[in-house]
Amino acid sequence: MKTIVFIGSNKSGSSREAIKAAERLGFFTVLLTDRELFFENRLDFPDVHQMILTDLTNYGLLKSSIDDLQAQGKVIEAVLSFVDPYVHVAAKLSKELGVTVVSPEPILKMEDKILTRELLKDHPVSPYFAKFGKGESLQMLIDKQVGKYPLIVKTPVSAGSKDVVLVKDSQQLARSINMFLEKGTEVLIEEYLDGPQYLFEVCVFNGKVHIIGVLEQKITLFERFIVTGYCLLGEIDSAFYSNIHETVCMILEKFNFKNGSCHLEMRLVNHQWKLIEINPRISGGAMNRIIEVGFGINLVEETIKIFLGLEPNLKKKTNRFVYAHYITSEATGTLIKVTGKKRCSQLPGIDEVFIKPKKGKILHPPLSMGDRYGYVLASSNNKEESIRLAKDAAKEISFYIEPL
Amino acid sequence: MNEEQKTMKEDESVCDVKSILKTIFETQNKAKLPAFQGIFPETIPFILYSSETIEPFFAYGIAPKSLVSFRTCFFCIDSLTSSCVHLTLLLPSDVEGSYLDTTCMPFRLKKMNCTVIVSLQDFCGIQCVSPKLVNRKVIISGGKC
Repeated sequence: MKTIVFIGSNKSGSSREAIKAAERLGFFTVLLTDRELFFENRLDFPDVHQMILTDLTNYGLLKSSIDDLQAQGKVIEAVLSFVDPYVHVAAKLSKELGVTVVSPEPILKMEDKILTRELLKDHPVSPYFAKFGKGESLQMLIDKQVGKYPLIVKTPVSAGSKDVVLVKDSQQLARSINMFLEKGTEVLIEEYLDGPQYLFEVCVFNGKVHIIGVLEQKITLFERFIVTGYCLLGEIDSAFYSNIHETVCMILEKFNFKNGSCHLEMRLVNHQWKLIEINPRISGGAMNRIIEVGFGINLVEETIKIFLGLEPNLKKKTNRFVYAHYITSEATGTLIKVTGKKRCSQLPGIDEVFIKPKKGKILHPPLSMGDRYGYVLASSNNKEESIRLAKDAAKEISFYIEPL
Repeated sequence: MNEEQKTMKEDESVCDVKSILKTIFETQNKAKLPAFQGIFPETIPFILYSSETIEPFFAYGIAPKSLVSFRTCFFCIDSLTSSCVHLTLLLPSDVEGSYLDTTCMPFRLKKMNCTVIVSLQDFCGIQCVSPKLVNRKVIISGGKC
């Protein structure tokens, strides 16, 4: 039985859609997960043909789970992950099984933010950065940062804004370094870059770089930086596109990334592209749907093909501007009910409305991307119209929250 | 069950109702004391069951702002004598604040300025309701408001 093994997945979003895509492609799907709740709600995952509860951080356990599957007669065609920090682990397992053309080394360098910065050191896309490890002199590090504030402090494996903070002075810097050192052994300190932020969804097949989507990001600073809006550009000025393509190719060349998909978050600072971060997978949340609505490409499905050594079909079937407006909560408390979803989805130009939390879930203002509680997706031939449609429709959605 | 047994049973029920109401009343009074503030609920809602119909007892009132009449089976106790109980009507509503004519648990119970005095003899049962429902708050996040 041709099988694809997934290491970790979220309940919804790109990673879950990858499992659905594998099922559509005719594979037996196996999900290795460490989330007991998924097991308790097994019926919510009809696209997962076999679910195995295991410790995803234990490489030996993952390997023995795959050995067991093989012993059961399943033919493993690929081991994949679309969630941090298991993309590299999945690629490594695939390589050991000899079933993929995707190399794990560049993926590891992308997953680890310090390795990324060291690799791109002295490259024009790289901002100023410093790293700090346990046992080093904090005073010395602080002295070196004089005149460089504001700075960004993050952990090397930060994802979804979870462990990323903005610091404005030495006191805040010391506090955030100590906070992050409780979680790991190293902390990354970076220059704060001011400028419009873009996200590039990229596929690479046999060394050829395909920029699938260019998206403008709307970032809101709550306690942390949270992306509250993505605008997929249906049309791009050719000079602007060439500039992006050239920069992305240069970066991926440095990583020696020949096959796979990734996304880059970049800021345009004084006409120079600066890399915020690069991740070896499609963005989570609504991204797969955004690209599907805008261009008719199911990016996770095409990524699976790349991992299987097959040529992806990256031809655009449509060309629309898509805006995804994310919904967050200003209040803290228990969710009683959500109203307006049906009304919102029936408005013109609305392609999808997704509400994540169920009744009884405790909501709070966002501390990470995972604390966005839904999105409204609108498309149009016009950028401004797609933004307006999504934002206006989102006003129909109300969360009724009982204070704690 | 003969007539004598029936009367005895009813009397026992009345005694039960009275003793439960007494406990509720005392607990509410204790809640007003500084030592128990925040520990005991100041308002304990309940439903009374009519001896005649074995159904929840309803009382009628008029909502102060809208001047719309309503009926409710949710009450709280104001005072208690040997034979009567003085009740305050609690208005049941949904999460959006709309009045609900129901015997099911509503989202919220709002204390009204309407009271009623009833005889303890008229009731055979009492069901306490969560005090959390009284003046329960809700925040509406997002939307057009």
